[in-house]
Formats: sequence, C-alpha cells, structure tokens
Amino acid sequence: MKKLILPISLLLIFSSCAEQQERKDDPTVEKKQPEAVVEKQSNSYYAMPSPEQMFTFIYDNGIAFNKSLVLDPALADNYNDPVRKAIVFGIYTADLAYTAAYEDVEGSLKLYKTVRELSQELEIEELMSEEMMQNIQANLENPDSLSLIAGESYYKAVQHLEDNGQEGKLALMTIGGWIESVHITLNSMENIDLESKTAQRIAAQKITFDNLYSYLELNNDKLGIQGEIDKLQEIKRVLSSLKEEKSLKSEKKSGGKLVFGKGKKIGLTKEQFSELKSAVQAYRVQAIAQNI
Amino acid sequence: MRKFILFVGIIVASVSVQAQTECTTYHRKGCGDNDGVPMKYDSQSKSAIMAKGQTSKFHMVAYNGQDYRITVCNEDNLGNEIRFKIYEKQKVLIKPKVEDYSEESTSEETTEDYSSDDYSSDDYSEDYSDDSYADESAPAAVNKGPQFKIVKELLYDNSQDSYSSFIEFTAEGSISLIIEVSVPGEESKMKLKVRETGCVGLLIEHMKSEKTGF
Repeated sequence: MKKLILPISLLLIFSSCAEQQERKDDPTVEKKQPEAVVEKQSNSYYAMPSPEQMFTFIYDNGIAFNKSLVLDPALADNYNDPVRKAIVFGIYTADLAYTAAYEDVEGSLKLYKTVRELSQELEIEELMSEEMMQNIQANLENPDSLSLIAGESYYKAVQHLEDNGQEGKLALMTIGGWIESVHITLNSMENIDLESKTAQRIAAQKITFDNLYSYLELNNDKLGIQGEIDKLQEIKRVLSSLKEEKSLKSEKKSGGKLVFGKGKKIGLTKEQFSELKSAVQAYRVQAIAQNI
Repeated sequence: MRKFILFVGIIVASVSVQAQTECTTYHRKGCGDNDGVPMKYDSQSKSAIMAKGQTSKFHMVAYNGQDYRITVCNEDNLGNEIRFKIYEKQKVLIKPKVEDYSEESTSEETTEDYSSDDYSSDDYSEDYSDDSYADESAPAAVNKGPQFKIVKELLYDNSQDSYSSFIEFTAEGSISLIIEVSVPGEESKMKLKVRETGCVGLLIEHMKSEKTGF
C-alpha cells in the first residue's frame, strides 16, 4: 500500500540566494551553467500489497462472492469531508478490485463510475480516463481484462498521488483500501478454519498493518492522518496480540531457489479473529457514516 | 546574462521535474527484461530518484505460499554495481525491567543496526505493546506493556552474488522484508546535483508457489 506506497517526490530548487553567494566567491561564475539540485528526502519507503492481491487470493481459495459486503455506490455523493472522502475513495477502489476479481461485470462498471466521480472531486480525475471507461465496456465479456483494468486504476491512483506530493490523500486512500479488503475477507469466511490459507492470510495482516501504520506515522502531519491513527488503535491492539514464531534460517531448495520465512507462523485464535472482525467493523462503520 | 541563466535554469528545472515524474514508473520500463518465469506485477514495486552514495530502505510484505522476484534496475549514470541487501524484519520482545529503565533503553540502542534516524518504526517499536508476549513473571508495576525491539536479519546480499540485479525466492511464511538499496559513490553532504542522481527501480513480481515433488 509506502506500495503502501511511499512517495519520494524530490523537490527541485533553483536558489537565487545560492547563486548570489556563488557570484561573490567566484568571479567566473557567469560562465558556469546553472545546475539544478535536489533536496534529500526520506530514505524509507513502506509498501503494501494492493487490495486486488487479497481478492485474487480469496477467489483462488474458493471463498464465495458476497455482493452485500460492498459499499453501496449510491452513497458516494454524500461524503463532503475531504478526509472521509479520501478514505471512502480507497474503500470503493477496493470494492472495484473485489467485483472485478469475482468477474461481476455489472458491479464493476457501477463502481468504476463511482471511483471516477470521486476522483474528480478529489482532483485526481486524470487517472480515470474516458478511454479506460471505454475499455471496461469493451471488455465486458473478458473478466480477466476487467481485473487488470481495476488493478491499473489502483496503481494509477497511487502513482498520481505520489507524483503530485499528495501523500496525505494517498495515506487515507490506503487505509480505506486495506480496511475494505480485510472487512470483505473476514466477513466472507463462513466456517472459521484457523488452519486454512485464508485464516493465515488474515493473520499475516499483522505485518501488512505494521507497514501501513509506519507509513501513517511518517505522514502524521498531513490532514486527518493523526485522527485516523487514533481510530486505528483497537485494530493495532488486536493485531499486536497475534503471536509470531520466528523464521528458520533461509535456505536453498533443490532447484537453487532461495526459501525465506520457513517455519514462520503468525498465530490466530478464534477470539482474536472475532476481535479483529469487530475492530475492523467498528472502524469501517464510522468511516462510512453519513452526514458527519 | 543573468536572465539567460535564469531561463536556462527554468528549462533545466522543468526537464528535471518531468524526469522525476517519469521516474515513478521507471521500474515498469527499466526492470522487466530478465528471462525468468512470467510472474504477476506486484503493486509494491517502486521507483525513486537516488543519488550516488545514497542508501534507501524499502519495506515490503511477502506472503506465505508465493514466489517472488525482485529486480533492481537503474539509470546508467549511477553505475552498474547497485548493491541491494534483503533483511527480514522481526519484532523481538525486550523484557521490561521495573528497577532499571535505563538498562532497557541501552538494550534498544544495541538493537542490530536499526537506529537510522529516518526510520520511524524504531519509535513505533518503543511503545509497541503486545499482550500475548507478556512475560507473566514480569513485575506488574510496568506502566507500558511489554516492549519490543526490531531486529533485522540479513537474508541476501547481491554483492555476494556478482551484483546480480534480481533474486527469486519462495516465501514459506508471511514475512516483513527490508530491501536496502545502495548506490555506489561518495555521498553528497550538501544539496544533490541532478547529474549525480538517477532513477532506481524496484520491480516486484509474484506468483503462487508451485508444489514440487509427487
């Protein structure tokens, strides 16, 4: 999600003050070409897998589609607060990835329109082009392409926000996307088999959330981020309580490929599953509440 | 003359701004030419402008049951020996000691080389509480919950692998990785000159691990 993803937007500065100083020191300065310089930026970047990865994973693992888990596109017009709007944008983007992964063409089309409208309101509309919309319509019979287009919308959103130094909006969108992917996955599991791959993927959200949280902390001076950090404390508490078993040393398989994380396990109990579900639900409910 | 310098400056600046914008997608164009098995693009991929002598840390998640390929590519002016190391990041419990908190902080300082100034997770780890790790024998008077230090264990260093530009691995558990990318050269203490910088891309691809054997 730093794909968490984190922007290293470097600022170009052409400093006339520096130029004047140079003139004093060196009389030949007029013969020199001015040289652009860049300011050093943060050296850490936190990435997160996109919601699309989660949905492809649950689809591959036989989890059934449940359209009722998606946020109703008709509600999109009711969000006026910029912080909430950015979070909801992330939620709808994840919903689009969900319907696309499950080949729900009609739902994807509606959600694409919604995401597009919201992107206009967030002034990032150029990432959702008319051409892309036409692509979706042209690919109604080709669900694989639909999923690719949905993924592309997400990457483009991330890229656009990074390019334009809108880390705050990107962070809020990432929260929305992550919350929605976990909300849908938790609520799609009918029988909670803690040994199942899906349960393991839920437990692995502990480390994904770590990256998200670190990213938010890096940007906590941006509009609305500290408030969201505060609201995420219960989720943080629950995920922190999941026990991690250390990995064994990395090794090479017979084919020569390296193996990392062997023996690593993040434990999840039924109680923790329920607590996480409640915490995610509580966060989502307040995030999508109307007229606030 | 001054106007001319300013004019040239503006041109250089706008070209550079455009270059930086283009740099955000550098990994898509510059990193995808190895002959390995086709894998899916992973949205954790990233490009950034880096300078000679600079080291950047990139934090990513690798999920259990997936094969990954990480490819590092760069613009020619940065040389052909870009070094990257992959660490696994793990949280380790620091047993709280009520009698002597200063000893506890010393213990954190000695945490394996993870005290880089720009690394905010150190702060995060300081108050990272986790009831499941609670040492029941620990004194109850501790204000905060159990505390953790973050340690990183080196998994791979491409300088030990002829500066290979890519690595493929299987994740047999979900792990938190730090990819530390270093550009050779002397680090500039002052503002960085554009000609000493270039795009570095980190292309991450994944696929479902295939079972081997019968």
